[in-house]
Amino acid sequence: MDSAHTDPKLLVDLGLDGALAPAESEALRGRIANDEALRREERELGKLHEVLAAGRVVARPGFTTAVMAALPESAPWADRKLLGWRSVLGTLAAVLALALGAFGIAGARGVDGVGFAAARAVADFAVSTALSGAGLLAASWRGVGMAVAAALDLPATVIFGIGVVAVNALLIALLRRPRRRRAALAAATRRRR
Amino acid sequence: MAAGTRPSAVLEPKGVPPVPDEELVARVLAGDQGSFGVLVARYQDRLVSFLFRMLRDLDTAHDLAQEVFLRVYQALDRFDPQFKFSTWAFRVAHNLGVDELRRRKVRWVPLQRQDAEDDSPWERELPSLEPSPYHDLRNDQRGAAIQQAIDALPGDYRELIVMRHYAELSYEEIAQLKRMPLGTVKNKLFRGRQMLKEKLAAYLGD
Repeated sequence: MDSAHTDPKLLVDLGLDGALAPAESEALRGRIANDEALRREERELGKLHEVLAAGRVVARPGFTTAVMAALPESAPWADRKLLGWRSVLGTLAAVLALALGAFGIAGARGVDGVGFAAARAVADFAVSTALSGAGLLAASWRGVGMAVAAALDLPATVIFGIGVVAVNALLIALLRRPRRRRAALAAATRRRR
Repeated sequence: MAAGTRPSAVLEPKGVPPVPDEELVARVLAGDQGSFGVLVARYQDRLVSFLFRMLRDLDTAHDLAQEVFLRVYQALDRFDPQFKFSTWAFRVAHNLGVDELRRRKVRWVPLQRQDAEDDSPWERELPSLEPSPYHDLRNDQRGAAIQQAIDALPGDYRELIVMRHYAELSYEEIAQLKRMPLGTVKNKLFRGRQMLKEKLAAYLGD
């Protein structure tokens, strides 16, 4: 903080609160020594710190023990990590088991190409899911495009009218904002009085 | 003493520099649950004091302080060491306090207000605070005046005064918690104290 341009009372306040650098604190001590008003300010603020500190409360005896007893037995983050690995490993194991099962059944029956056909069916299913998702997305964007196109087809006067209303609404919103801030400020000033 | 610090807590050995919060968090994550006890002991008084000033109810302040520690413990692996542990814990406490006030629909209001028509101040009745460590103080005229003076401060000044003097947070911690520039915190605390000094002039003389 540039102490040369700061209210000396603010410096006294910061000094009492231990928020000044040693050099600033030293300079302030010199100023206080030569200024009765600053000495009084320091005395009064010192007392204020004391009376405020007197209002602090302390936790009841045994509070730490109660908190420690209420903690979960196993660390929650360890469970979360374990769950993450477990779910990945579980999924992989399930997929592997299904694949092995399909190929195993095909091999046991001695049917040529059944295992391959099963794998292809799964792949086809994945592809069709992706395609239907893409189709839905395209349809929704097409809907937005159609709405914009319909708006552009409106007569120029209607579009101009909508534009004028929008600009006015924006202006009103911007004008109302400082008034609201002034009202809040006035209310705060009244409260302070 | 540096701004916002207090003597080391019960479980910390005397004469040894206190272990930084971040180091304690790392120890807990590595499996040393006892280190969390050091954190609890370090912050319990400040959290209870802060919540008590916010809610004016010592039982609820204790319950919520316990809830703060439980929530912090549950999410300890998500703690970002680039922020201070204290800031995190007090943010959780502040949010819980605000939720509790909303739940109760109690607002921080001045105890004494000037009536628009009449210049005479009128007293606002408070819910009972007993049992409370303020009980003795409240019998004392000075204690009541201090409480009234703090309650009558505008909201943001009151909040900063409570954070500084009851939560014992440093200026930097308050700035981080309130997402305010450090200079604004210093100025607001200064103005808040000046307002308190004016209101309590009768009790601050020699």
